[in-house]
Amino acid sequence: MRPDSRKGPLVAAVIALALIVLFLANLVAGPVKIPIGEAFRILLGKLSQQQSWNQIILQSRLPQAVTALLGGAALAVSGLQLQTLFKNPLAGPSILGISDGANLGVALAMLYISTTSYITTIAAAFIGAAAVLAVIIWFSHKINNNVMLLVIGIMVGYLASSAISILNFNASADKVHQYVMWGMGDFGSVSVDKLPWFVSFSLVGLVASLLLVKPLNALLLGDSYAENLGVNVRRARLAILLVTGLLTATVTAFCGPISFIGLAVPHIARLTLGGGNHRSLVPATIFLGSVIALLCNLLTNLSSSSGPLPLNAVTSIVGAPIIIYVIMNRKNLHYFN
Amino acid sequence: MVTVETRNLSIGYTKPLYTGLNLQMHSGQMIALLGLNGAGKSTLLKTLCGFLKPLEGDVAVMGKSLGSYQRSRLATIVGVVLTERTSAGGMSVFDLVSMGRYPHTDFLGKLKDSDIDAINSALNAVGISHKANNALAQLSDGERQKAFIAKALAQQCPVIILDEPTAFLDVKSRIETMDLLSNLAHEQSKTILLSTHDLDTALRSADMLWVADSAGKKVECGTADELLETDIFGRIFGPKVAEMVYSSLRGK
Repeated sequence: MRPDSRKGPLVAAVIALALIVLFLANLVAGPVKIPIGEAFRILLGKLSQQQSWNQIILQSRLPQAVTALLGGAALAVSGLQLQTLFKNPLAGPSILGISDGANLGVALAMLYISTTSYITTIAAAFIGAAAVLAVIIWFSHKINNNVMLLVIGIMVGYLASSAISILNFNASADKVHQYVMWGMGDFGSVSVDKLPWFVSFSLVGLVASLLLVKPLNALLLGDSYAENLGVNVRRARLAILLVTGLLTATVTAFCGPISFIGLAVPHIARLTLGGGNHRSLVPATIFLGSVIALLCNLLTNLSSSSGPLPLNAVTSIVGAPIIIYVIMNRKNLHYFN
Repeated sequence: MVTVETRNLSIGYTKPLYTGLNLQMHSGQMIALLGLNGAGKSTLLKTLCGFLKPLEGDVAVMGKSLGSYQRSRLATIVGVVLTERTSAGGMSVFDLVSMGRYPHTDFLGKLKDSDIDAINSALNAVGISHKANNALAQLSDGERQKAFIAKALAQQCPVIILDEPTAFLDVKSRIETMDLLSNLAHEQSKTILLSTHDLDTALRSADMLWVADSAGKKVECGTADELLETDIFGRIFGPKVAEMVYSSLRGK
């Protein structure tokens, strides 16, 4: 007898359909409306008569949609792994200070280096995230308690935020404006030439996440049970921190800090599947992360004639009600009791 | 057959709680570890499971030092059921019991037909196969405990160590759980070691008692009748409990 699995294929079909529809909607919708037939022609390599449409889809909307697809997946699966590792429904990619480390690196580069190319920004974000990750990993070897490690992560995040405030206070107004704009998050900031790097880093992290399904399931039972099942808990924890660090740093470096997706999507996946087995939860979270990110990106571009809305404003509008629902709904919170 | 043996074992975190322990566990035997709160029962169980390193001496499992085993190999010999209550991240009962197959599956944890058979057999053995699709959080405490015992059975270990398996259970579930464990020991030749405060059911079901004497830094071993000939129950639990044990065993 195998368990009841009728729900799985239906959920997968709905998610796949939503993903295709939203991906195409991201290509055709925006200030310039492009017919879906023309979008298909352009995607298939048969260029449209309208040169500007070719330009818009191939140089702007397609890279933006691919970035949202992978960025959403990366943040969501990072959130899921951290929620499982820390057994905390409110853990997310920003909780360990990794995002804040990336922010600090970018703040240093943007506010105090006279000319900053995108390579400098990306390198600064990676170095900041890697520095915080190194600190967290060092502490993870010293402390066996996940809750204490979580508290240290939050404290490191506060330290980075304080440093950013001081840097902002002493910087010139135009530099602060540039940094604030970066901080609003944007899937559109990954251009065609940057895209191969973003795709490569994201795919490495996503594939590694799929390979961590087995230890993640064991960790759901607690460290002692996991150890008894043959898991090297210390090594598994290190692997999860490295993978989530890579994914968070990649998205933050290329797109800016993006809130709520990492926190909210794992809960949507659990509510949708009605279970906690990572064999189905990890793929569902990856694809739902893509769906939610594509939806948020679409909403930013549909909004007004004065340009796209800040991405983080939209992710918060979508994510905050979900977090409130999770807190009010004991059925979902029991996953971590 | 001796499955687990301690050799001049000292246990504790920094200072030794017990020293010079020479204990033996046999296949087909159910042992109840008794003692007061804080007597170090969990510390002893953790050491026997390999969660805690001995301060001195050694634990031999199947004749081989515990420390010499690879984690994955030890996971096929010693299974545990802990006292902590977890809803296992919203897992279904089937998923939880399938975790027992962890040491037997490949890198991705894919279940083969033989794994499914082992899971179903474990669910049947504890009598909760009808709850296989339920979330763990939907079960009563007694059913939840059975689900974790089923996980240990699916692990197919000859030795199962349980930390206070009857702690949150009502009387009916306590007796059912102890009978289940006793049957596993006698019918499937498992070695069962459990810690408990439930003296009544331990006296009724266990083949052997280990009584933790923290003052004397030793563990007294014997059948209930053998230990009744000593003053251990009176020394550890007080004269009223000793009288209760006596009347329970001798019917007076």
